Amino acid sequence: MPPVELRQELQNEKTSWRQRKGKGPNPPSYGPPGKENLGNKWGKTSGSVIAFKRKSKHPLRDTISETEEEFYRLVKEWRGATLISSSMTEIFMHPAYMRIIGLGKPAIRLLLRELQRSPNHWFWALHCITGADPIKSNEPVDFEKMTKAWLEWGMEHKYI
Amino acid sequence: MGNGTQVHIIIEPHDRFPDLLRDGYQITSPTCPSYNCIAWAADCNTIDWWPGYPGWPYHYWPNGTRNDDSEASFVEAFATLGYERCSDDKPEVGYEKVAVYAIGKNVKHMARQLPNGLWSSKLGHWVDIEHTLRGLEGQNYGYVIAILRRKTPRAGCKIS
Repeated sequence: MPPVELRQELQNEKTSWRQRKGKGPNPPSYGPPGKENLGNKWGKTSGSVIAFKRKSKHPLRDTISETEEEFYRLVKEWRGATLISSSMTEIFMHPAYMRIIGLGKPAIRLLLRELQRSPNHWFWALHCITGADPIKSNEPVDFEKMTKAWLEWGMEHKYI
Repeated sequence: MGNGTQVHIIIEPHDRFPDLLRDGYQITSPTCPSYNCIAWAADCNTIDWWPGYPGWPYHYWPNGTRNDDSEASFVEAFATLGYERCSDDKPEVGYEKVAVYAIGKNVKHMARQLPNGLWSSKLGHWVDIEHTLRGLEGQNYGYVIAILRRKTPRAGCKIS
C-alpha cells in the first residue's frame, strides 16, 4: 500500500482523469470497446465493468508501485555493492545508481524521502533528474549542508 | 521490497575483509555517509575526498593536483597537507603516517596510523575501524603501495 500522500495523489489523479473525460460519478470502464452495453444479462452494469472493478487498478497506481518497488530494489543493490567503496566514481557510476537516475521524475519524491530518512549520496541523482542546483556552489560543500539544501528544495517544490 | 521498507543486511567488516579476523580489529564509529576513507586519512569528517574536476561540489580534492585515481594523484594531494613518501610503516615519534592501498595502479583506500602503531580506516561510507595494516589487504582494496608521513601535529580539515 503506497504511503498516505501517494494514495492521495492517486485519488487526485483518478478524479482529474474522470473530469478530463467528462465522466460522472461511476468509475471509467477500461473494458474492450463496444462491450460497455452488453444488455440486461448483467443488469445495468456491463460485464466489462465488473471485470475492471475486480481485476484492474488505476494505471498510475501500477506505475507508482512498480517504480517504488524498483527504486528500493536498486537502492539495496547500490548500497550493498558500494558499501566499502570510497571511489565517488564507482559510487556515482554504479549501474544501479544510473538506473535510479533513469527512473526519472517519479524517483524525485522517493530520493528525497530516502535522503530525509537515511541520508546518503543522492545529490548527484537529484541534480541529474531535476536539473536543479540548490547547492549553488562551485566549491565543495559538506555533506550536511548538501542534505539540508536538497531537503529544503524538496519542501519548496512540494515533494516532501 | 516496497513502500520504502528498509532492509538491514547484517554484515560485519570481517565478512568483506577476512584477514581482519586473523589480526583482530575493532569498530570505532557507526556508519556515517558524510566522509570517506581518503577524507578520514586527511583528518576530515565533513566531506568526501576523491579526485574530481574543478567546480564539482559533491566531493573535495585539493586544487592544482592531479585528478585521477593513480598513486601519484594521491601522493600529490597529500603533499598539500605536508605528507611525503617514506619507506617504513612503523610508528615514529614526531611523525604521523598514512598508507595507500591500490589494486594495480588504481588507488582504492587510505588508512592513517594511530600512536599505538595500529591503523584507523573508514570503510567506504560505512564504519570506522582500528586494524593492522595487512588486515585490509586483499581483493577489495588490494595491497599497500605507499606510506606517507608528515611531522605532527595534524593540520586538520580545512573544508567548511
